[in-house]
Order: sequence, then structure tokens, then C-alpha cells
Amino acid sequence: MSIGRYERMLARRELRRSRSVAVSVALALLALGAVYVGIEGVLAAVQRPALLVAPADAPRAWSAGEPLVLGVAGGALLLGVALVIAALTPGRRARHRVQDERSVILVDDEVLAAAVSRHVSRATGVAPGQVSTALGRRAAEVTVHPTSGHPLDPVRIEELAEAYVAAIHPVPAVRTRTRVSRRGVVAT
Amino acid sequence: MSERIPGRVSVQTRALHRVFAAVAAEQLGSPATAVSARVADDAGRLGVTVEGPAARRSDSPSLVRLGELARDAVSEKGGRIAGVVVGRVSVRITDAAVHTGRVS
Repeated sequence: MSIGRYERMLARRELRRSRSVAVSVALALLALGAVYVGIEGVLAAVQRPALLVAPADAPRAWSAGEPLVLGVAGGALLLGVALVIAALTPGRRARHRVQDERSVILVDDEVLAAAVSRHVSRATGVAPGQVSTALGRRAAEVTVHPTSGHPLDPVRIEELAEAYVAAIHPVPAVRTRTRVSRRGVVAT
Repeated sequence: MSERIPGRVSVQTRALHRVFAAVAAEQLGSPATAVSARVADDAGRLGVTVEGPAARRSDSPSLVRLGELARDAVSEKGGRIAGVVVGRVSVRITDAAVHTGRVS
């Protein structure tokens, strides 16, 4: 049995950043713009002086290149580009899904990296502070600083880290790479 | 195969200093308290520096040879006792007490 469509959707929601903030900001700005246009329209209708630019003068102000109009147009362009980027990029969070047949399990990358470091530390007898793991979406890099006088076998560490990550079965799959530092740490 | 016991064993630098100083002192013929040792990293191995006086009898090898013997002892015996792989070993003989063997 594998997880269904609904569970996959749930996982997807948690693995990607919500666009609600960007949408809220865009809508609030749109509402402010509409209110302003409304106010200018009413002021023009009752023949009162405009707040900034009267609707009838707007085309002339644009073609004349008035700084205020150009500034507003530039701001709108930048905001538009930012919103398009926010909409098109995947907006992934630093999390991985752990393969499980019954549940949706999501693990923060920090937690996963710490677990790999702890496992390598325990299995090799190196102090926990001497092992660090940098975890990306598809790769994990484990760095081990050996204790001076206690050489480590890089191949064994590679196997340890690889087997541990394989057992967790993160989705998307994570390739491990280990590095044993040339410099050791004197008796911790 | 016995089950692996959780936890880890660590040897503090102070203990390492004592071991290497004692091993070097044995070769130099000096009391262990007169010999000092320092450890540092040597590309993943343990670098050791020992410093102390040598006591030389008339039938003893030269001071340089005593230093070499102390260096070998630090590397092999000291490494074995401490359970570490020793890299670079420096021995500095700071003083010499020469016994001629004559009794007055």
C-alpha cells in the first residue's frame, strides 16, 4: 500500500513555501491603488484639486515624464517582476519526505543532517563536534575531523553515511559524499 | 561478536603528556617529573615534543643517540601505551648529568 493523492498533496503543501504573504501584499497594494483611483475620480467629478494627478492629466504627465509618475511606474514594474519570480520558482523548504507506506513523514534538513552526523560520530568513536553534515536537496556532504593519532578510514565512513541515508530513504534521494579532514583535533 | 557498548573513550592531553614524558624519561635516564611533553596535530597523526635532561653513564651511548632512542620509544612504546598513531617526534635535551662511574 502506498500513500494516496491526498497525502501526496499534503506533503507537497508542507514541502513548499506558501505564497499567501505575497498574494496578500499584492492584493493590499491593488486595493490601495483602486481606492486612490476612486478618490481621484470623485475629486475630478466634483471639480476639486487632485491629490497627486487628475485622471484627465495622467496621459500628459506620463508622456511629459513627470518624476512622480515614472517613480510609481518603476515601483509597479519591480513589484511585478518580484511577484512573477515568487510565483514561478518552486519555493522549496529545507525538508525531505521520508518514504513510508502508511504516513506522510517530513523531516527538516537540519534534523536529517544532525542525525547523519550523530550516526557517523557514534560509529567511528569521534566526538560529535568533530562531524558536520551539510545537506542539500539531493546531496549530503559529511565532514569528519579525526582525533589526532586516530586515523579514520574514509571508505568506511562513506559506507556508514551512505547506508544510514539509504535506510532513512529520503525523497528526493540524497547522494552522500564524505570528507576526512587532513587536520586532526588533539585529544578531545 | 560482542555487542558494541554505547559511549566513547577519550584520552585527555594531560594523560598523553604524562605517558610520553615517562617513556622519554626512561630512555634519557632522568626522572619522569624532569621531562615535559607536548602534543599537537600532525596531519591527523599525533605530533609529540619532549624536553628534558639526559643522564649519561660512561657506558651510555652519545647524547644524540639517547635522543634518538627516546624518539623511537615515544613513537613506538608511547604510541602503543596511549593507543595512538604518533607522527613527528621532537626530542630536546636541555641538560646532561654525566656519571663517570668513579667512586671516591
